[in-house]
This record gives sequence, C-alpha cells and structure tokens, in this order.
Amino acid sequence: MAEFSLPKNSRYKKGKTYPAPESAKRTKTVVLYRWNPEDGQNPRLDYYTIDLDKCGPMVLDALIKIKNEIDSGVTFRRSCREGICGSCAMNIDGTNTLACLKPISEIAGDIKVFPLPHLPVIKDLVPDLSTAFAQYKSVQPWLQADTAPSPQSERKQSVTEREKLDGLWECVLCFCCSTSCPSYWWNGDRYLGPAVLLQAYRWIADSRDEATGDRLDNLEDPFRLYRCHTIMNCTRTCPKGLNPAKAIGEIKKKIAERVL
Amino acid sequence: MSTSANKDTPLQTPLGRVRGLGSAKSGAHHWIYQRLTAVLLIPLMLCLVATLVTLPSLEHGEAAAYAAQPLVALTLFFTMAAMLYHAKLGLTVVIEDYVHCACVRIGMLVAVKILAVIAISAVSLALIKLVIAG
Repeated sequence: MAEFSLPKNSRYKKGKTYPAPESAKRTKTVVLYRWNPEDGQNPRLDYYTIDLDKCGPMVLDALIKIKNEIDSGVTFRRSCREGICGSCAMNIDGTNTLACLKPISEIAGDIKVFPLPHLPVIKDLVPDLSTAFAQYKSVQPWLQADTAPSPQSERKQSVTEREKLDGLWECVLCFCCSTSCPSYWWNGDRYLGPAVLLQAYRWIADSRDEATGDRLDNLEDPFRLYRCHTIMNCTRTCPKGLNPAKAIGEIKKKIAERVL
Repeated sequence: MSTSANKDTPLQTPLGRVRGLGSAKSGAHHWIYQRLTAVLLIPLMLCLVATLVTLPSLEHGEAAAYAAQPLVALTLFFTMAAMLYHAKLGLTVVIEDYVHCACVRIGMLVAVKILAVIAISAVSLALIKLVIAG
C-alpha cells in the first residue's frame, strides 16, 4: 500500500545548532537534513545560521559556504552552479528544485533543505538515482534510424520539425519532477516517471528518428506510462520551466492515434 | 520505494529490474474508453435525473411501466452499461495505484472484472423482464 508515514529508522530528530558569527548583521538559518549511513543513527536536522552579507545569492552558495566554513562533512551533489548539469536537485522550502537556481531571497523564514523525496538516501542530501537512470536507459534515448545519412550531409530537419523538440531538449535530468510525482512515489519501480517520459517523447517527436512505433510499443503499459494521472506536480516543480505532463499527454495521444 | 532491490533478486541490475517482464502493450483501450464513457455519462446522467424528476409518480407500477417502453429501456441499459464500465476502469486504476502486494492486487483486479460482468448481466435481465413481462 501507499506509505503515509516514514519507517522508524527514517524519522528525523533535531541535531546540532551552529550560531551565526557575532559580527553578522543580516543572518539566515539553513536547516539541513543529515544522515550518515555509517553511524547507525536516525537522520537529524542541523541548524546553521549564516551571515548573508558574506554569502552568494543562491541556496547552493549557502550550502557551499556551510561546507567550506562551518561543517565540511555536509554532503551534496553539485557541479556547474548554473542550472545546466542538474546535479544539485534537492527539496528546498518544500519544493524540488535546483539549489543553484533558487535565490535565498525567495525564501521566507528558515531555508529547509531535504534530499529529493521518496528515494533511498546515500548520505545527507545525496539520493540514490540508479533506478531513475536505468529507466532513462530503458527508453533508448538516442537517435535510431535504419536509413543511412548521406555521407556528404547531416540528417536534415525542417525548421518546423526542429521546433517540435523545443521544451524537450532543455531537460537536464535532475529528476525534480519524477520525485515530486505521487504516482512515482507509489509505483516508482514500474512507472517510468515524468523525467524519463519527457525524454522518451523527445525521441518520439524527433522527425529524424525511425523507431517511433517501437518506442510507443515499449511505453504502452498500464504501469510504465498510464500511471500518470495528470497530477501536474512535475510541471509545477520543474526548475527549467518545462512541461513533462504535456509530453506525457502527447505520448498518450500518439498511442490512441494508432488504434483509433 | 523505487530503488529498493527485490527481496528475491537482490543482485539483479537496476536495468534488469526496470525492463522486468517487458511492456504489457496494452493501456490504449483503457485510456480511450475511460474518457469516452466519462463524456457519454454527462448527457446520460442529466437525462436520468431529468426523467426521475419529471416522472408523474415514483410508484413502482407506474415507474416500471414507463421504463418498460423500448426506447426508455434502451437508454437505461446504455446508461448503466456506460456507468458500470466507467466504474470498472476507474476501480482498476485505483487498485493498480495503491495495492502493491501482487497476489492481493491480481485477486482484486479479477474480482472487479467479474463483479462488473455480474452487474451488467443483472441489469440486462431486469430490463428484459420489464420489457417482456411489463
């Protein structure tokens, strides 16, 4: 059945508090979810109060400041710090987003930071994405065509054909959407989730691809595709402003089109 | 929990688990008919409510006589068929969403199918009896 409360060993308690330096005029408290797989303890929330005048504007800047200056044990993924790599996806102030794109100024009160919901945690803010990436692999996200391209030229695509990929190719696979989806929470082992379905549609919508039928065959399944009940959390949470729910709707329409 | 390894196959790779038994290659029919019955039920239910309100009397004899008219009986049958099919499709989704123990889920899904067939058979029998016997 759906799980509405956390298992006993996942319930968090209050952890350590790190006060602001006395010279600080503008402060903000960052509340971090901490869990160490090696100490056998339950997760805890640590409170770090930082000096905003000595911190960059984004939540990721605050996390890096904490790791550099207060507690080097804090563990999180990050790389590009500009919303292109999708590494720093986490639940900030109750919403899944990229820490590097979330301004501190948008958050009233404490900045509460948790790992992406309903995934196994590896450590602190780092979730285990191995199933999500296996699901991505399962939709064969590469161009498939039997017709060889002319040796002298690229595979051609008209301007209107290319426009169909806009709103799809921008996805950075941060999995904010999939992990915000209740259907993915309850059936994430079989439902592919909005991120992977948007990627699947990116290849279905590509006029150069010749495997559309096989792709639709692979998706037409009560669990893989039809667990989407247009809840729309995916579209609401996407830090890149994309619309996975619409992409899933388009896949359903394509599948209906070939039987009607 | 999405990544937890299956108890029976703890060393299976994530990709092996995700591919699983492959695609069921079904779902289009379910998706189309859930929407089709939903749209059909709007006028049908309005028609049913309007009929019940405007009927001069809800006494059994008079209501039965009204329902026994072939066109009324046909509309009633169509309404019940659309409603029961819609309910069957909807319940199937709820069970697939929330019942995770495979044996319970399969049992419930089969039970819903059988109950829907029993219900539509009962409706048909009742209407045939009404039209023929009056």
